[in-house]
This record gives sequence, C-alpha cells and structure tokens, in this order.
Amino acid sequence: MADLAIRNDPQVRPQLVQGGLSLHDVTEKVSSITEARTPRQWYIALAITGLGTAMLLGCLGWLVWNGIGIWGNNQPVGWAWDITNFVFWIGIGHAGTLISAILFLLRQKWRTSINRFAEAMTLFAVLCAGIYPLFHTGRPWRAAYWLLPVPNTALSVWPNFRSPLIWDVFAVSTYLTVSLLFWYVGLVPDLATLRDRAKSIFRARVFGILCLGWRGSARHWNHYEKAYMILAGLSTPLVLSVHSVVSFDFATSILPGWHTTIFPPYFVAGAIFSGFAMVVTLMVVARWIWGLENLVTMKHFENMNKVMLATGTIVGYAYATEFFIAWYSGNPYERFTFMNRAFGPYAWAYWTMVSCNVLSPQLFWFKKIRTSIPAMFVISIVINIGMWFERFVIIVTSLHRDYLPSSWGYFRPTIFDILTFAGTFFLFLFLFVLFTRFLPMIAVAEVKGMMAHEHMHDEVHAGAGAARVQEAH
Amino acid sequence: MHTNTPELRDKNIWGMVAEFERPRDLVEAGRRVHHEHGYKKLDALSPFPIHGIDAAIGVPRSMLGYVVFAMGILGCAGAALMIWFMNGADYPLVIGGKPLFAFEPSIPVMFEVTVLFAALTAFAGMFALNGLPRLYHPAFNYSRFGAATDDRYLLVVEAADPKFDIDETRRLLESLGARHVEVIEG
Amino acid sequence: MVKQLRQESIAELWKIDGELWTRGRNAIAFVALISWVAALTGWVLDPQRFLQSYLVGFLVALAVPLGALFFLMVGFLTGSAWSVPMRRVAENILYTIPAGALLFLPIALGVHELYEWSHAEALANDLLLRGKSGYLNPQWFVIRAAIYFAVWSLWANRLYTASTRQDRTGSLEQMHQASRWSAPGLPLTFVTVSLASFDWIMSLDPHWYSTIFGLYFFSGAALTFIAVWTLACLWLRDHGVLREAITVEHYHDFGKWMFALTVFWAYLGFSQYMLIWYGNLPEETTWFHQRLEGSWKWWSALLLVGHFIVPFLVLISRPAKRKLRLLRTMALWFVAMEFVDIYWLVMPGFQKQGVALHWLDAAAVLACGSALALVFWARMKRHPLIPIGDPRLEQGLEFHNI
Repeated sequence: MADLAIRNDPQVRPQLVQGGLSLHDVTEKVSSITEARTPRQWYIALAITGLGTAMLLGCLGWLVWNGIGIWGNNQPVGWAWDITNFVFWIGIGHAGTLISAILFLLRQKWRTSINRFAEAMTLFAVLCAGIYPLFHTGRPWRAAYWLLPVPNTALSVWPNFRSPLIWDVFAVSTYLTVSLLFWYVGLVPDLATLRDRAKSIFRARVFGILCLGWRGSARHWNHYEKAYMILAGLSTPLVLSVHSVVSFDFATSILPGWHTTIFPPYFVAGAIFSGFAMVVTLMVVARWIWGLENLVTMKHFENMNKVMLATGTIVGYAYATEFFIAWYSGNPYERFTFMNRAFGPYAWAYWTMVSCNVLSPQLFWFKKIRTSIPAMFVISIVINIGMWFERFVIIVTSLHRDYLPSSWGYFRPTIFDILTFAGTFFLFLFLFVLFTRFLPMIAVAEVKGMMAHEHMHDEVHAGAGAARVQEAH
Repeated sequence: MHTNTPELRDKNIWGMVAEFERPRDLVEAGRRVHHEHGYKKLDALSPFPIHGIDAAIGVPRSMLGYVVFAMGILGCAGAALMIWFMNGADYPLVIGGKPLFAFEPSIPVMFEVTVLFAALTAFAGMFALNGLPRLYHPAFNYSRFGAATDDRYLLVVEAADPKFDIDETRRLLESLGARHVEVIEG
Repeated sequence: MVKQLRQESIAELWKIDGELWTRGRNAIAFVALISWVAALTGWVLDPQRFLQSYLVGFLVALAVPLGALFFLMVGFLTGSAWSVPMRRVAENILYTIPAGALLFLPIALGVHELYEWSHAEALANDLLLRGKSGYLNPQWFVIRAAIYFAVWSLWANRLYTASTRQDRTGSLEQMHQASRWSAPGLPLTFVTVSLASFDWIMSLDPHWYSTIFGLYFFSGAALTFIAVWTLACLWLRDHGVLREAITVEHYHDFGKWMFALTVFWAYLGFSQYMLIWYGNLPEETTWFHQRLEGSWKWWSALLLVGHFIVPFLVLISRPAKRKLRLLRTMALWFVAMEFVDIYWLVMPGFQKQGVALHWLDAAAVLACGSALALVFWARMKRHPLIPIGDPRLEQGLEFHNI
C-alpha cells in the first residue's frame, strides 16, 4: 500500500536538505562563510550599522543628560514608545527560543536549519529591548537599587516584589541568560569544527578556547543531549513566562483595555507571531546573500509561514474575545475603551494593526503566496509593523483617555523617540553583521545529526540503496 | 602497558583510534569490541550524537537531570525566602493594600529564579561532567582528528584497558571494517 | 513487521476479537443502564439538583471528544507521525461528538433551573443582565448550542471519513483532505469551544467575566482527552490488542503530553486567578471569593494540589513516564481531576454553604460518560484499530525517544 513512491513523497517526508549535499558539504558550506576573506560589502554593512548604533548611543547620551523629557511621554500617556519598543523587541526575541526549544521537544526536524540564526536573533532583540526599561529610569546607573535585590544605601529599602516591573527584570534577565546558554551549548560542537578546520594558529587557539576543548566523545554527547533536552524543557515554560510577565505589566493594573485575563497567552502568541516574521525577513536576505538555498529550503519557509498564519489567527481570536467580553461585561468603561480604540482618535492605528496582523497573514492560506519569497518577505515586514502597532494601540489608547475628560490627551512622538527606535534597529543589525561573519550561521552538528538520522531510516526501509550521503565524496 | 613492539616500547602510548565511515559501522564495531571482546576503556568520537552508541560501548545514562532538579527546587525555595525576607520581614512596606508576603505575586519571580538556577546547573553541570574545559587531550594527537568533527566516526581504545595490545587490538579493529587505525601517543 | 502484516489481511489482525468486544460492550451497557436509571430517577425526585449534577457530568464527558477534535486537527496539520498508530482510537473518541448533542437535551430543557439570566424577575431588577439579554436568552442559548454541535459534528465527520477511507485507498489524497479541513477547523473550534464555555459555564454567574476562560476550559479538555486516550490504549494492551503497535515509546509521549498540558492548565489557571487577585475589582473577585470560602477553599486546594502539583512532581521524571502502571494511575487521576475542576467551575454558585456532594453527581458523570463510551465502543468494531492506509504509519510505529 504505502510503497516507496508514496514514502518518498515530499508531503510525507520533506527533504530538509536539498541538492544531494553530503555531511562534509554541509560543514564546508557553513564554515567557509566564516573562513573566506572578508568581503568588502561586509565592511560597508558594518560601517552603516555601526554609524546607526553610534546615533543610538548619542540619543541615549542626550537622554541621560537632559532627562526623559526629550521623549514625547507626558500625562496622560506616561508610557508610550519606550514600552512599546520594549515589548516589540522582546516579542521578536521569542522565535529563537521557540524554534530551539519547543520545536525540539515536538521533534520538528526542520528547525535545525534555522535555529542558530533565530537564537542569535533572540539574543540581539532582547539586548535591544533591555535598553528601554533601563534608560526610561533616567538614571540607568542607579537602576540596580530599583531593579535588583540590592538595598538602597540610605534606608535599606528593598525592591518591591509585588510590582510586575520587578518580575519583568527577573523574567527578561533570566531569559537573556538562558538563551545565551542555550545558544552557546548549541555552538560548542560547531566551534570545535571551526577549530579543526582552522588554517592559522590564531584561529585554532581562539576557537579551541571557545569550544572548551570539545572533542565529540560519546560521553560528551551523552551529557550534552541530556543538557540540551533539559535546557529545551526549561526554555519552553520560560518563553511562555517572559511574555506573560510582560503582559502582567499591563494586566495587573485596573485600567480598561489592560486589565484582562487573556493577556498572558495572547501576548505569547503575538510574540511568536512577530518573532517568526522577523526570522523570515532576515532569513530571506541571508539565504540570498550566502546562497543557502539547499539548507534553508522552501519547506522551511512554508512551515514558518504556516506558524505565522496560525499565530496571527490566534491573535485575531484574542482581539475578538476582548471585544466580545468588553461588551458582555456590561462595564461602561470597558465598552468605551474598545469603541474608542476602533473608532476614536487612534482608529488609524487600530485598523493598521488589524489589517497587518489579522488580515495580511490570511494570505498564507494560498500555497502560491506561502511559497513565494517576495510575497513572504513583504508580508513578514507588514506583520512586524502590525505587531508594533498592536503594542502601541494597547498602551496609548488605554492611557490617552483618562477617567476624567479634563485629563484626556493625544500622544505625539518627538524626534528622539523616532531616532532611538531607529537606532535599536541599527544596533540589532550591527550585532547581526558581526555574528554572520564570525560564527556559523547554521547549526552544523544538528543538521548533520538530522541528516544521518533520516538517512538511517532510509537504509532500514529502502535497503542498501540509500548509502549515498556518506559515500558521495 | 602492553607495548610489545620494539619501536614503540619506549614511547608513551595513550591508545588506538579506528576510523569508520558510517555511524552504524561505528556502533557495530563498538558493540563487538565491548560486548564480545570485553574491552572496557572505550570511547567514540563523532561529529553529532549517535543513537545506540552509549549502549554499545557501555556509557551510562547521564545523571544530570537529578542535579538540575535539585538546584531548581533550591532556586524556587530561595526566591520565596528572599521575597519574604525583603518585603515581609526586613523592611515591611504596605503597597497597594496587598499583604506583605503572599504567594500570588511571588510566583513569577520564584519561577524565573527556578529556571535560572536549573539552567545554569544544566550548563555548568554538563561541562563539569564532561571534564571540560580541557584544552589538551591525547585524542587530539590523532593525525586526522578533524574528521571527527566533520563526517567520520572514531572508535578509541585506551591503552589503560587491561586487554589492550597493540597488535591484537589493531587486528581486531581492522577486522571490524575500520578504514584507518592509528596508535596515539599521550 | 509492518510489511509482513500487510501481506496477511491486516484489517483482520488489527481489530478487537468479537468475544472481547461483546464483553466490553456489556460492561459499558451495564454501567449505562444503572447510571441512567439512577439519573432519571434523580430528575424526577430533585430536578434542580439533577440538572446541576448533570451539567457537570455532561461537561466532563464532552470535554473528551472536544479535546480529541483539537488534538487530531493539530496532528493532521503538523503531519505528526508518532501518534499515527493510536490515531484511530482517538478518532473513535472524536466521533462521539454527535451523540453529545443528544446529551445536551436535558440542559436545553433545564435552562430555567440552571441559569439566573433566564429569569424574568432577575432581569427586571438588574440593569447589567438586561444589557446582556440580547446574548443571554433561552432561545439564542439553544440555537447557539445547536450551531456548536453542528460545527463539531461536521468536522468530526469529515476527519473520520477521510481517515477511514484512507484505510482502503492508502493514498495521500485523504491526508491532504484531512489537513485541508483541519486548517479552518482549528480556529473555528477555538471560537466555538470558547463561546460554549462562556455559555454553559461562565454565564452561570452572569455578572462575572474573564477573557481567558475559554482557553482554561479547553486546556482541561485536552488533558482529559489525552488521559482517556491513554486509558483506552492501555485497556487494549491489557487484552492483547495492538501490543506491538503501541509501545512504551508511544506511552512515553502520552506521559509528556499529560505533563505539558497539566503545566499549561496551571499556567492559564494561575494567570486568571493572579490577575483577578491583583486587580482586586469587586465585580471580578466575587467569583474567586465564593471558591475560597468555607469548605470550597479545601476543594480549591484539592484542585491546585491534585490537578497540578502532584502530577507535576510525578511526571517530571523520565522513568515515570515509561512505567505503564503509573501512567494508568495518572490518567485515571486526571479524569478524576477534570471532574474536580468542572465541579469547581459549576457548583459554588449553587452551593453557597459549602461543598455538598450528592449521589447524583456520580450518577450523572457515569451516565454521560457511558453514553459516549457506548458510541465509542460501537466505532471500535467498525474499522481497523490502526489507520493502516496512512503512509506515515511505519514512521510512527518505530520511533524512539531520546
């Protein structure tokens, strides 16, 4: 019944590595990117993003010098772009751990080609996110007293652990640490490969130290796999908790539009949504620049687009539930807030959000669009615009109408809001440019493990005919 | 040490490496060497984890999980204690009419600290159990060591094994389909 | 192994032996008979109490096929292979949904006894309830339930038909068909199950509202489904059916799912409770206040400890998930905990003095459960117990956990 033709049907078992690459080819393809002479374009990219990062530092310096009055936040909108950008970047940082951890636990093998890239993205995005809460304190060097369990020297007051902002500090810093550990653990075998391929003593020393002397012993792998499994098992609830805690910043208040119980899962879904969109945006570019078509295939993109379709629809479900319950609650404040969101002064932002987040991913129902690189590139950017607006809408629309109409207002960003936000993009890309030059962009050991595992299956079923992968060279 | 060949007698021999081309050849060779020929001091080097190799050459299951679990519990309890001490005992402040200490608002931080402790333990514990960092190891002296982080699979028999014998071990490994067998100095 | 079995008549091999099937049917029918007689007697003696218990029993029983609907659709969409050997059992569970519509009848008849918003005098004195009466009124309530069941039954039917047809064709066409139905089905299920949980449970206290409520109910339903699925497979195993096909590796995965879902349930439950506790708004906290007063606080503690803490500690270790006897105990435990959970959601409004268990509670759960079990059991005879035409079957039969 299920004969060979069906079993080899790409729908049954997608070919995750194409072009008949052997294990050695994979090592070669990925490692050589970091070993080749530095291309001139790389210096240009570094210079542009570096200048942008310098601009970010300038903005932050100006902020520290003058105070946060240089931003547009003011009563009644005390939280505006800073927290919007914070949530935006944290959200983008969710795809990495999701791909590394949750897809690992679900045995989704297609993750191996994209997890390293997505994990790097997570780290850089969380770094960008961290800038906002730190600098919106105005005196970042004193932040330790407010944020960490360090007693204030004069009064010995401790931070208030009933405040969700403190939970945020713990959640985000734990997330950054664990993501870094996870990323590094994944990198170690690949760093050993780079060490063994190094032509110069210098490279060999650097990578030899970075990989801690990894030699791929069966005993190493035994503990390694256990540790990887544990880190994945820990990261899965962690990734849910981080955006849940971010949502608590809003939901523990009693502000209409913020105080609603669906916020934690709704924020998590949105974060995964935007994170995947960012992975697609960047991966399309990286694949084109370094010719990774055989490793990052259409199947990978299609799967990511499906995840976006699913999470975009969940986000739509959350919007609808909020609206319905606002009506159902019978609470006039709730009802007003939601009507005001959709038809008030920020209606333009609300409908931008709905069309970008709920409608645009629906295009992924069509296989033609799901498998078109230009289409997915555009949609993934549109989605991230939409997700930025989602946070903006939640934060600003709930604040700009206070309980007293005399306190109503309208938020307008200043040039420093805009430049700081643009600056974080440059910082994000700057770190990316460095990453792609010095470290393997694809998890070589994991891809090879996946190929060999798939290959053993073939051997079991198809007999000796499938020894190609190893014999090819 | 059975350094029975004259030219090797004075050298310090660490072991012997046999190179295989396919993971299953390595597993099969490891199984025979360990289970049929009774070698104990074995290791296998491979570019990615190979299923079945642990049982084949007698590597016990990793105990890392238990250590991590214990540290996680410690982190959880430690965080609860910290919050209770700081907000409930050392400097009590009533904020928002909330109790000085309650589990409801403490759980997020307790959870995060649990994860942090457990993850740091998993990370450090993995390397510690592996004896890493260790920048020098005799296995690196194998002339084609780089193959083990690319696409070859090495079986290592240490000279410290009571059954180790340069000629016999070499013959055994070659008979199991090794493409290349080499004596490694330590 | 698979190929060998294929050459013989597989359909014959992977099914329950006739005598065994009859014994199973008789056992279920016996329970059904006793419990229905008891339940119907209760309806006559104490209609109020019967309907309350019946609502709990109905929800516990219906949670199982609803969980199956969700799980199967996700499986079809992600091309999951590990679950293929057990999938037919799950599909047989799924296809009890249409019978669930019949079980809804007593609730449709008892709207007035159960739901405060259906009382004209309550509406007259309550501005909020009047505002909601466009949604919360008996006619619309029943029509909505009909829509929910129509949607669920249609999807159950499409998935079931596609899968059983594949037994004969062995082609990919049915697989595509199943995933084509699953893609729109998944969001639709989310919406309908959420609304159903708002209608049937949340509106028992018509002033209270929580946006996460639908997901909370859903997570419990998914967990209960996995538990029942595990129990069904283990029962077959005990009677020598599918012993080779469903191995300890598959049970290990069941264990993982139970673990993951109990954590997920706790996450949603905590989010709902903590946010309401923290916000401390009177219109929201009353609901929890009711559940933390008198003997209800012990029931809440039982829910926390029994539905989360104990299973979490038991199932976290790998060896535990591979011990079949322990897994069976945990699966039974989770079914019991779903009862505790639904009871906790439904009853406090009716039992303001404290927990008052009644023999009708047991009768109603057994009645609803056994009714669906009979339908399930009839299905178990009709098709091979394994989706023999699925091209992923071999992959599913031989996978191993790390």
